[in-house]
Amino acid sequence: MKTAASIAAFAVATAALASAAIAHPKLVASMPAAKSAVAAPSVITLKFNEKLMQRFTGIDLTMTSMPGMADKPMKIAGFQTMVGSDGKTLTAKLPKALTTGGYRVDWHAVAADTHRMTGTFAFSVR
Amino acid sequence: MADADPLALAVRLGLYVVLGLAFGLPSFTLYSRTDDVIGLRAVLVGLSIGGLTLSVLGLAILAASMAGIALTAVDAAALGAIIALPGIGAAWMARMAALLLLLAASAVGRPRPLAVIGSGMGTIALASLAWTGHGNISGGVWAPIHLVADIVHLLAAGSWLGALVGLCLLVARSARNAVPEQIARTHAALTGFSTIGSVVVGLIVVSGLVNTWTVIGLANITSLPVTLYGRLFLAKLDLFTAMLALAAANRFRLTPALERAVGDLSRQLAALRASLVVETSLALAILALVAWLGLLAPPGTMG
Repeated sequence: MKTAASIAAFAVATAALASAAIAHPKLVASMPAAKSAVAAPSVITLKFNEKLMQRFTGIDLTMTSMPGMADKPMKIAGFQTMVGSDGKTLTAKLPKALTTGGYRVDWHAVAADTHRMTGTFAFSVR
Repeated sequence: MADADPLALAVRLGLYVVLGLAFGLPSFTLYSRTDDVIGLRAVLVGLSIGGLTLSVLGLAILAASMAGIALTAVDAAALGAIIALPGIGAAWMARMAALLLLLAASAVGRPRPLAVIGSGMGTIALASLAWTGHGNISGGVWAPIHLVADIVHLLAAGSWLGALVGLCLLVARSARNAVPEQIARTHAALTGFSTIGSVVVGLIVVSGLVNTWTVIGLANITSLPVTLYGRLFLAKLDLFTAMLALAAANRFRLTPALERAVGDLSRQLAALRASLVVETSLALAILALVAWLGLLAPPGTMG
């Protein structure tokens, strides 16, 4: 009985481990954080839970609003994204610091499981 | 990701069938000693060309899905980026090399060496599929266990498929040319496969359990009937059970009947052939489900 119980406990524990081990890349944190208001960032950093494939991972940055102007989304180009040495951090160095307004980040990421994952978050610059 | 791309599904099914046969059929002719009866040359030329074509197409489909672009927009750089990957890329390269060697060897034409080379190259080509789909998604200590289980599962399933097609060919030949020697050889092949078949089924069950554990996880077993992935998985188990029932009927009823048969030999052979054809169809249906499952997110990856 005791053996059976410990086998069951082991099974549940390992099953939980296995489930945790197989995961698509997920965004765990970002700078600027989602829905935050920050002062003129010139770098955007996204932290994932899995090691990323540089070639298939990146972001699109869109300015969604600016003061005194009608909302007309404007894509921001002219930057490259790099996966950091830990393999899990994606950094976009922008050509110049972002000006006051609302922004949206659309990210796409591929890890070792080869599935393309996408997501989006917004922040604003004071 | 819930809607599976029909072309991706067809290519995956094609790869399972073609590479399963590229391994299963030559190895069947070896252990059943029928390499002089079943003409492998043309079959292996067709299978290696088919395998090469489907592998290139499969790589392009994967590159398109990873880059988020249309299949027609895939360029050499994207293909090169996947080929350069340590796991999936190396496996693809090994498969291409094995299939090219198999194609070249098919030109040799002599049955025995071709059956040996076919089994060897087929092993490499079929095992390489473990790196596509969900064979390589486990991390940490599970990665090698899962990979080995997946390779065993692929090879065992390939042996079964190859044996079914080989037995179909033998039974059809016996029906056309019902001389005692031919019947005796077909009977020997059927009896021989009943032993190997039991080992194959055992390997499929054990490796399948390991895969279920690592891909789905015990915690998700109860939720299987509510997801598409789970329903397809349960359907696969039902078809597998049906295959086992037919295999048992072949082994315990139809094969002994063939040995005892004196008068109505053609009926015995017709019954055997019908049973083998249905069993092969079930195997193909299972492979279609597997091709579909590989394109869906397993419950173990949720949350």
